Amino acid sequence: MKRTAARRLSMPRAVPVTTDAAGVPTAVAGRAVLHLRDEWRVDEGWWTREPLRRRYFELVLRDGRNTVVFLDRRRGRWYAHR
Amino acid sequence: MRTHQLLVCVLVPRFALRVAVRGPLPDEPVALAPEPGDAPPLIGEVNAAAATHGVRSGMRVGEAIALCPRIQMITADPGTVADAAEALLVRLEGLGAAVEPLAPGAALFAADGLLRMHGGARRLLAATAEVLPTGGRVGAGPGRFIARTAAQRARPGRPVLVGHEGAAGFVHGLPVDRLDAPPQLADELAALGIRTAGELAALPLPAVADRLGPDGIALWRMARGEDERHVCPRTPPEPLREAISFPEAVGNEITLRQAAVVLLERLLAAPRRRGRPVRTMVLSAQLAAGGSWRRQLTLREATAEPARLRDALLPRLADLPGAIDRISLELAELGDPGGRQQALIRPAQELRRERAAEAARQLRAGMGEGHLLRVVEVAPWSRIPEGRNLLVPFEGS
Repeated sequence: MKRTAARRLSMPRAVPVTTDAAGVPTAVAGRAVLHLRDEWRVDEGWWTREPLRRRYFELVLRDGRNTVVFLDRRRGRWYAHR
Repeated sequence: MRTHQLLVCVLVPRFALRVAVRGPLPDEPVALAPEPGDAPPLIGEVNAAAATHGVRSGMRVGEAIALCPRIQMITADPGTVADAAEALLVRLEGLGAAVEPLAPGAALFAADGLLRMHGGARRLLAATAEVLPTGGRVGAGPGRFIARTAAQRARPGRPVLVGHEGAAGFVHGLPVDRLDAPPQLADELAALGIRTAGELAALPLPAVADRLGPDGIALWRMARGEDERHVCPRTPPEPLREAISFPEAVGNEITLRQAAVVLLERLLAAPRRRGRPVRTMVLSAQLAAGGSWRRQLTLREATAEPARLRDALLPRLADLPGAIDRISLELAELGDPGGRQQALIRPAQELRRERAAEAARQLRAGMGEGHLLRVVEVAPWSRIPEGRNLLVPFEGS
């Protein structure tokens, strides 16, 4: 019988983000940001070889969607949660 | 499926208070005093005069007196309230109705089958209003929610009947928090600026389903005057009750224990029990200082063993707040002597689970194993979204 392994939900995917001078997103995947709802940082696993250093933004886009994106501060790349 | 069942709701507001004052509610502010032994001591129902001073049911006595120094506390009488509630249900059943009790002084029944017997909806409602105590209201409509809201809007002696055609209009202007939404959903609707049932009903169903889930869909249907919830009528009980009146007030624990054991033995020996085990007992007492005391005991497993019933019953006597004039014991609910009987109308949750299981079976049959997955919470507290849940193969039924 074919078995499927467990996998994580809400894995982040790379997304193009443009920011202003303060590093706050102004557009996500070409969609303009209408409103910044929240911002927070996550620094975890600093005692391991793969520490997490993220800057999260919860945004409302111009088309009405809510989305959460973060900047991976180690790699300098932007991701969104599915 | 849209229901076309006409339901009737009866409502006696402030039922416990009305029973305790033994007549119409006074114009002076009154409240039901805390039941003896209650900690903290919280007041029960209040009349309209007390409510205008800001006194609410569930407040502490001191707080109520601070808000309204003239307020009178009426001794709680839970035993008589239970008797009066039962008497009301029996009177409704006397009309031919299969009644679902909602709360003391509130009940619901389906009118289908009674309309012809009583000569139409208006006559049935009039007959229903006649069996209610003072202050009782009657409302009818298609679905539980509309029937109950109609009863709340009705005046004593003037029933409100909402027809199938008028159901959506009746609900349209109601504030959305009157739709009995779960608190989280009510907060979400408030945050979205949806204030009335009409505003909710105007939204497209897919958007409601996407944003608010199954609870939102149920609420949306209710806001459109569609209510599929059935009436679950009770099985009229055959009361098995025994009582002992004492010639003078008794507070002695040994005497009380002996009296309770005698009552239990009498009830277990009653031929009407027909060998059925006991599931729920109600122990009540008339207090020498006035008022009454009542405790309901529901056993985890129905039993007819005297020793186990005694073990469950006797510790409750320690809760008695003082000397008593009369003690009574009722076997309120009996189990089935042979096998379990299934309910005629199954809960909606069970039906949904069954449909989901059938859908899962068909998916597996069509697509093979490994395509149907389920979400398992592993670390819901995690600050990283991808660390909270796992998708694993769904192998159950």
